[in-house]
Amino acid sequence: MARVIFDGVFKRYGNSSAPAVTDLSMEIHDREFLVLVGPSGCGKSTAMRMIAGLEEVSEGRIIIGDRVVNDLPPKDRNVAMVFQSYALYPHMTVRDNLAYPLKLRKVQKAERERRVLEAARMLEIEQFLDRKPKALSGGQRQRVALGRAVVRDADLFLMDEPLSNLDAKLRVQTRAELIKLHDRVQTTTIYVTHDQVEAMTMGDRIAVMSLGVLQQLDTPQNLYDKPANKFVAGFIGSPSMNFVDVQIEDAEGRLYATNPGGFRMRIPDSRGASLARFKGETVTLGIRPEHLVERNHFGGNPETVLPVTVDVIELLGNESFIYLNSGNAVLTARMSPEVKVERGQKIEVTAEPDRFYFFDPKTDAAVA
Amino acid sequence: MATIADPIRGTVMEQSGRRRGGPRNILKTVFLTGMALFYLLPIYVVVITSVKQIADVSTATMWELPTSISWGSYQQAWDSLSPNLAQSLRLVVPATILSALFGALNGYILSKWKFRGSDVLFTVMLFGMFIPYQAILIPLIRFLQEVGLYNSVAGLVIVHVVYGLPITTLIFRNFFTAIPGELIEAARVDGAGLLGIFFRIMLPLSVPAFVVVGIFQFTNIWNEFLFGLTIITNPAEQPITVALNNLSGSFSVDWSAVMAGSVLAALPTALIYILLGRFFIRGMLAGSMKG
Amino acid sequence: MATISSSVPATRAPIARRSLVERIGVGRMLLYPAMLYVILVTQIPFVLTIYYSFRNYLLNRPDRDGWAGLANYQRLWDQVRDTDSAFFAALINTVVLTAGSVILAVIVGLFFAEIVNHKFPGRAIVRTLLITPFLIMPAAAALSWKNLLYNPNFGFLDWFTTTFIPTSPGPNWLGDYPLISIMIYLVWRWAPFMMLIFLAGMGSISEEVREAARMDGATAWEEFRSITLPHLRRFFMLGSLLGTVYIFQDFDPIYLMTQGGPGNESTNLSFLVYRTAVSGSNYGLASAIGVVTVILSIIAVTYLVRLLSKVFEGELSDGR
Repeated sequence: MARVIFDGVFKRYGNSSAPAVTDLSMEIHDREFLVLVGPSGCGKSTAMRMIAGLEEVSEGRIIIGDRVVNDLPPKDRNVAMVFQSYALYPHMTVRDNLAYPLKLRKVQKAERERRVLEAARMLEIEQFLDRKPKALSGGQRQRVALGRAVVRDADLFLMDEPLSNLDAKLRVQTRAELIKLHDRVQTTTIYVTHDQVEAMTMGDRIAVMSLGVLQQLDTPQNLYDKPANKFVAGFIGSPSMNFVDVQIEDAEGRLYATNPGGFRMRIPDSRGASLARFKGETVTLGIRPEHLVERNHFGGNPETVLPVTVDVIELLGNESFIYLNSGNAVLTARMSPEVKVERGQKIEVTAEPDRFYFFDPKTDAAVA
Repeated sequence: MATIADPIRGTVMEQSGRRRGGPRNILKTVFLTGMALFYLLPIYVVVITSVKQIADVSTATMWELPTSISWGSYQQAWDSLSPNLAQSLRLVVPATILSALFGALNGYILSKWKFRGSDVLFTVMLFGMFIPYQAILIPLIRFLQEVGLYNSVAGLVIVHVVYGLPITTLIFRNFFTAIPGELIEAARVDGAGLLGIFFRIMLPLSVPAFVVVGIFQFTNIWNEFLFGLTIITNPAEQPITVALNNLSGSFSVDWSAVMAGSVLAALPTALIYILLGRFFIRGMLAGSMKG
Repeated sequence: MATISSSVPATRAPIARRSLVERIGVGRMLLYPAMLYVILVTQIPFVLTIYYSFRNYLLNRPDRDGWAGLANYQRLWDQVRDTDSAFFAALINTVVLTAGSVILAVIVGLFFAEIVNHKFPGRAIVRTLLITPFLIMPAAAALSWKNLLYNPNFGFLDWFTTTFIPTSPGPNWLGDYPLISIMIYLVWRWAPFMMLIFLAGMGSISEEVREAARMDGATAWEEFRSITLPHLRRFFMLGSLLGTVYIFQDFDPIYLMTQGGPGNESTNLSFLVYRTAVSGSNYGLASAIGVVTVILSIIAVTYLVRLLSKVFEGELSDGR
C-alpha cells in the first residue's frame, strides 16, 4: 500500500520540442483508485510507465510511499502492472505465469503455491491453471493478467487500458469486477484509459490529461459539474457538450449571447455577474445535450429560451437524440421520447440557469 | 475454367473434384513430370553412376540403368571419406550451436535493449555479410597462425562462428522484434533482469528461430569449401567438401566411387531439408522480409 | 533494495546527471564489451585486408615488403584499361555470371513456382523433385556436372549430342564455353531456391483476392499478371538479392569445374583473389582485388535494391 507523488515531472523524448509530459504534479492517495484519462497521445501512458520504471523521468521526482524512485529499476519498485495486451508468457501455463513474479522474488515453493491458488480462486481461474494462455478466451486471459498482479502483494497496481481488448458486454462486466477487486484488496491503483465512461464509473478520482498537461484532477461528479476548462467539459460526458461561440451584448441592462447566424439567447440573470466583464467580447457557450429541454417540458418558468429548428431526430427507444439548428450553430439535444417533434419544426429550448457553461476563448478556462 | 454449379448433378464440390481429372490436366501432368525429370537428369546420372561397377561407366551407357547394382563403390567411398565426414561433423556441430547462441544473444540485445548507437552497430555487423571470404582470407590465416589455431578444427570452428554471426544476428533480431515489447516490460515489472528475461522468456519462445538458424548454419558450414581448403592443409583432416574434390582429382579416377561419395556427402543436409525444410523457408522469409 | 530518503530538496531543478551504470543498469554495461568484440572480430580482418592492399606483400619476396601506397590499385586500374588482362576479364566475367545466373534463375524459378502452385495430380512429388538440386552439396554437384555431364569424352551431354546429331562431334563444354557452362550449372542450382521463395509468396496471396479476380473474369494469365506478380514484389527483391550476394562471391564451382580457365575465360573476382594470393603469392595485390570486390558487391546490391523498388513501385503497385 502506498501513495504516489508526481513532483514537477517532465518527460522529453530525444530532442523533440514538445515534452510528452509537462510539469506534472499530483498526489495519488493510499488505497485510492485513480483513473488517468485523455485522448491517445495525451501522455497518460507515459506518466504511468514512468511510475513503473519503464520510462526514465527527464525532470522532477516520482515518489512511491516514501521513496524517490527515479533511479530504481522496475523490479525494485514493487509495483505490479496489467498490460493492454495482457503480456502473458505464452510458453508458460497459467500457474507458471502467476508464480513467475514470486519465483523471481525468491518466495518459497509452498508459499508460492498457496498464493497462486488464492489469487486463482479470487479471480475464478482455478480450472485453467494448467492451460497455456493460447487456450484461454480473451476474458480469461484478462483475469490471468490481473492474477499476476494480485498474487504479488505489490504496493501499487498499474493498469494500462486493461479492458480495451474485451468486447463491449464483457467490458462492462469486468469493470464492475475490477471495482469489487479493488474494494477487497485495497491496493492503490492507477488506471489508464481513453474511455471517459470507464473513467467515470471506476475512478475515486480522475486525472484528465491533454497534450502532456494535467487539465483537472477531481472526483467524477465534480468533473462533470464543474469542468475546469473547455477540454474537460468536452471530454467528459457523452454525447459531448455543445459549444457555440457567442458575443456578449448588453441590451437595457440585460446580457444576451448572440452569434452572427441569428442565434440569440438571453443569459440567466444569475450568471450575469461573472460575464459582465466580457461585454462586447466573444466567449464560448457550452450546454450539455442532456440539459437541453423543450420549453413546454421545462419544469419551472424559463428565464431564457433559444429558438431552434429540428434538423435530424434519432430515436433510440429509451431516449432520442435531436439535432438542432440555430443560425450557424448546430446543437445536439438528448431528450425523453415523450417529446414529440418533427423534422423542420421550429421549437424553443432552454436549460436550468446553472447548466450554462461559459469559457474564456483565450485561455479555454471556465468562467465561474 | 470456372464452371457454374449444376443443381441437378450434385454439389459444386463433386464437380470440381471431377474436373481435376480432365484430359487437359493429364496432359499437363505428363508434360510437367517430363520436364521435372529432365531437370533432374544430373541427379539421376549421379545416382546410377554411383551404383555401377567401374567397368559399366562409359559414354555409351551413361544414361542407362546399370546392368547390376553394386554397392562396392559406396564401401570404397566410405573407406576413403569417413575420416573427413567425421571431421566435418566435429566442425559443424559446435560451430552451428555456438553461432546460433551468440546470434540469439546479439539479436536479443539489438532488438529489445537498444542503446545509443545500437542501430549503427547492427549495420556494421550486417556489412560482414557482404565480405567475400576470399577478401579476408589472408589476415585470417595469419591470425590463426599467430594464435596457434591454424591447421586445427578449433580454428575452423572459430572462423565459422565469427562469419556466421551477421546472419544469425539478423535472423534472431528480426524474430525478436516481432515479440511484443510488453512481454519484456511485464517481465521487468515482475522482477526479471536482462539475462533472466533472455533465458526464461526469450529463449523458450525462439525455438522456430533456432530451427531456421540451425538449418542455415549447418548447411552453410557443411557445404563450405574455401575455408576448409585453406585453413586445414593436411588432406586427411580436411572437411568432406575438400576431400571429395581430392578424391575426384586423384590420378586414376573411379567415377562410381566419387559419385557414391557425393551422395554420402549430400545426405546430411538433404535429410535436414526434407525433414525440416518447411520450417526453414517459412522462418527465413519471416526473418529477411523485415530486415 | 536501495532506499533513497525522501528528504531530497523539493526543488524543480533537473535531476543530477546519473552515472552511466545507473542509467543503463549493470547488466547492460556488460553488453558494450560483448558488442565491441563482435565488431572487432567480424570487421578487423577486413580492415587488415584494406591495410595489406596498400602494401607490397609478396610471400616469396619478403625483402620487398613495405608501404606501396596506391601501387596495387594503380596496377588494377591499368588492367581495367587492358582488355586482355586477368582483372578486366574477372570483372566482366563476374558481372556477366552474376547478372545472367540471377535473371535466368529467377525466371525459371518463377515458372516452376507458378506451375507447382496449381493443383494437379503428382504435384507433391514434382515439387520435391524440383527442390533436389538445391539440397545437394554444391561441391558434390559441381563435381558431378563437371565429370558426368560436361566431360568431353564420356559426359552425358557429349553422349546426347553425338547420339542425336551424329555428324557433329560433341562440344567441349567447359573448354569451349566455360562461362556459359558454369552459368547453366548455377541456374540449375539456384532456380529451385527461387521457386521456394516464390511459392512461399504465392501461398500468402489470399484466396479471396484470387476468387474476386476470377469472378471479374480474369483468365489464368491475367490472374498471374495482375494478382500474383504484384504480390510477389518483395519476394522478387529477396530472391534476387540473396542470389546476387551469393553468386557474386561464388568461388566453389569455378575452382572445382574450370580453375578459372581456360586462360582467364571463367575467372571471376573471387577466384582471382584466391589465385593471386595462393598461386601468385602476391598478398598485397590480392587484398586490393578483395577490397574492390567488396565495394563492387555493395554497389551491386544497393543498385539492385534501387532498381527493383523503382520497377515494382511504378508498374506493379500492389496497393499496400
